[in-house]
Amino acid sequence: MTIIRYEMLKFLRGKKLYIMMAIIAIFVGAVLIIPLAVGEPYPDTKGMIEFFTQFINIIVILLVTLFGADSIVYDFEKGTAFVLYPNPVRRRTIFAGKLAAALIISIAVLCLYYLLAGVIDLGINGSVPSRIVYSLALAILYTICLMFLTFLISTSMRSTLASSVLVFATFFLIMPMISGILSIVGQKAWFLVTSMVTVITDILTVPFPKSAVIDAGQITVVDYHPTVLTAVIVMAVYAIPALALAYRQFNRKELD
Amino acid sequence: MDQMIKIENLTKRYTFKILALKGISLDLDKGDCVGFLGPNGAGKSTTIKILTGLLKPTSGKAYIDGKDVTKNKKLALRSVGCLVETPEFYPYLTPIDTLTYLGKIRGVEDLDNRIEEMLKLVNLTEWADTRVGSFSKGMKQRLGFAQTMLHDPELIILDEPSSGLDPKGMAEIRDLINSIKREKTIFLSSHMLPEVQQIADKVALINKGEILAYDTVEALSKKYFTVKEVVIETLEPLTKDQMDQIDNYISKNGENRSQVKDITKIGDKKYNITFLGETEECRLVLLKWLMSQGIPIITFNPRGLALESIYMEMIK
Repeated sequence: MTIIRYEMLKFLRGKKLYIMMAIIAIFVGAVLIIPLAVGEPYPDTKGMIEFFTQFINIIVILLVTLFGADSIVYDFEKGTAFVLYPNPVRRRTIFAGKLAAALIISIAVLCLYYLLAGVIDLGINGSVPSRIVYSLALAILYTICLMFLTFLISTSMRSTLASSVLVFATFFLIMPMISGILSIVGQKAWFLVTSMVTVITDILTVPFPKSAVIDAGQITVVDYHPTVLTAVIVMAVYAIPALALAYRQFNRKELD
Repeated sequence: MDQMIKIENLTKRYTFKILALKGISLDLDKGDCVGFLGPNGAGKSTTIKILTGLLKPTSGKAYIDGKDVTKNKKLALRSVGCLVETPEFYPYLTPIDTLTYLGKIRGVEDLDNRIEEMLKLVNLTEWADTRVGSFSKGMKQRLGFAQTMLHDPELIILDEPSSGLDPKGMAEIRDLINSIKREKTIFLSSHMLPEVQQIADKVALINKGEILAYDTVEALSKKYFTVKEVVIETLEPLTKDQMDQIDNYISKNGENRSQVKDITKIGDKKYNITFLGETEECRLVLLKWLMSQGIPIITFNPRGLALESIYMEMIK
């Protein structure tokens, strides 16, 4: 608990939380202002929440990058490990504390985003779709999965900058690029964890959207919509080994 | 066992080429204040990091108060306070936050009072609520010392505690260590000879991963070491004949026998004489001989410290 508490203090006293809040404010502002600016009506209650969930992927990627990418590597790069680690505290306690703190702050920000979405939808449309809860649950699951992968990267790197860049690049560039190419060549990127993010929006729709092949002239594009079961399984397949490897890596990390 | 630290055949290999420790063994009894002396890269920090659970040895054992550090780190480090390398603290925390954090991890009782006491000890009371991010190196070193002592440990391990400090800072740290050494067991690594000689009762010399010697400074001087140095100032510059005469000096005066190894001019009328002699009285015998030869001596000062000579000779 002590480690969680002081990691949270780091987030609360640091700039990253304010950066994240500013980004959230920009997204919320964009959702509110842009339709007005172009003279379009706001979407209905389900559509409004879908508007907000379109940004979940980038929000989660930013959350794991800001709050998770340097969690482990910071101590080794900056030397704070020399003060913290030679204490009668097990490495697993330190690891669990840092992971828990990163997840708490990330999930808290995510919940705040959904709360804002709900309040705005209520204010504009007078109601909130009940399935928003499922969307939030899947978003939390997605965040947890990405955070475990982020910790694996953080335990493997020697620099906070390299860790942050690799985390962001992996989830925002590399994986989406691969899934984009696959979709153009008519394949489903079912094995990429970032492809599972669509369930967060799709869960709002009844019936659940199905994957489709779209004829776009000379090419066909796969519009992939994994099912919730597929998404949960793929996230688990990434998350569990990532967590195990991250912990193992952390335990073996030496301060030379 | 009465041994606070027991190191048995400790080996640490970083890579195929780098063997940092070559099977060293070392024991510290409770109440000892031992200096761990060696040049950069000798293996001092590696040894300390293994003792504090920051590194795992390739082979061998390290025990603190009978507990194996590698197998039961939590139990072994319970009564250890350590300062490893130049301490870095989380910049967003104040000294009070930092000590509270570490104190809670250790389960220190009456933590608030203890923190106040430690901050007073290291002269950081005025800065108690200032974020550590704005601290100088010396202030961080002092905070490091405070966290080392916070839980009133039985064993204190210090890795280059004066590193990066100005002379005033070094003196402060030295005074702090001297003020606690009667009640604690202290294991202090350094490459700074004056620091070790002024604090430690015993010295372990390490070089290239091997322990070269381990004893009190006096015993080391007698057992291993006979080279002494004096600096003389004369009324007039010495002639070549006088310098040759001094260079050829041999005294067969019983246990005070000695022999000059070298005489070097280091100033207009200043000379450094290196000579072999087993006892401290050899210097007096040399002085008497110089005066008997009509050498116009104004000052006669032993140069450097005995430990420096031992150290420099052993790491050659």
